[in-house]
Amino acid sequence: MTADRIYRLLLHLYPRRFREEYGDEMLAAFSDMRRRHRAGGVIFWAFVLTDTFRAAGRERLEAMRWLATAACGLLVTTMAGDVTAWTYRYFYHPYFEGITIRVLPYGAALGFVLGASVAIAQRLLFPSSERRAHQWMLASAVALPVAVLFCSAAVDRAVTGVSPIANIHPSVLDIFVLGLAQPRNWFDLATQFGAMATSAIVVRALLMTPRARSRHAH
Amino acid sequence: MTPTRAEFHVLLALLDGPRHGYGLMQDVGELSAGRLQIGPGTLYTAIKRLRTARLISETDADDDRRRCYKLTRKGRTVAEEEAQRLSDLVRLARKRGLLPSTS
Repeated sequence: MTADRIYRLLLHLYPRRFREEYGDEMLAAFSDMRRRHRAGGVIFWAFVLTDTFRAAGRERLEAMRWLATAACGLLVTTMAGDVTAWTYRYFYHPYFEGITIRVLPYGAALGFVLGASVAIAQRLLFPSSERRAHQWMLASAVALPVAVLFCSAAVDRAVTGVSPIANIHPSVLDIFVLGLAQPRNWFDLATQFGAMATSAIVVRALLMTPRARSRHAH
Repeated sequence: MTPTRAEFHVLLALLDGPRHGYGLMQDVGELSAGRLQIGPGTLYTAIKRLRTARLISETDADDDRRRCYKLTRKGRTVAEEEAQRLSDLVRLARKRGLLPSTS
């Protein structure tokens, strides 16, 4: 097997998009480097492998940032849901019974969730100069917690034997006041993760249209 | 954006004009007197990051039809700022006796 062929195989360690964008150039640079240095020994390959594993690892991590954003959104959503529910139960009084008064704290919680997701994702996950990352963060922060809220409520209703679709008209507001994003068991939690991943993929597909991809590359 | 060591060397190499990938690898080695050798992986992850931050841009291909990269105005500014930052650090290190004084 020739050195170029080995390097071509190594290029598969990089994320597909990166490989498509720079793979040919990297291979050309590798060929030049090998020819110029008449290299092929252990030291040369140790250098190439170290360079490849380090760079590919960094790119893979970069490509997984959207997942980290999703996890961040899930964490904040769950925490906010729990805190709101605990607060509601602690201060519960029959006088405040009613849809409006119950929706308000949950609406506030939703606002908090979105705001906190944006703030946390921006602070922790993305350098300020990465435009695409900003789009990601914003879209994930909005779309994912909402997806979790709805999916969680739907799962709660499914578990309790009530069809969320059949029951949606009279109880549309119940989606905000029942269930929320509090995982009650492992199945509920797994469903939340599933909802996160699915909505993240959809958001990613919507954001990274060919036009946007091309604009980003140039 | 604060460039990494490899990214800063790429910016420095591009001050002389557009380069293709392998040319950049050679220039970085020469600029650092052989102390920093970067492979294609490190180089192109740096190029990707610098392009995303709009510090460098793609320019016309060379005679071998390879993609070349050039410094943008923003890239030059960032390189100047980084050089100034490093210069200030060296001055501070001299002041504290970590490095010998030049005078």
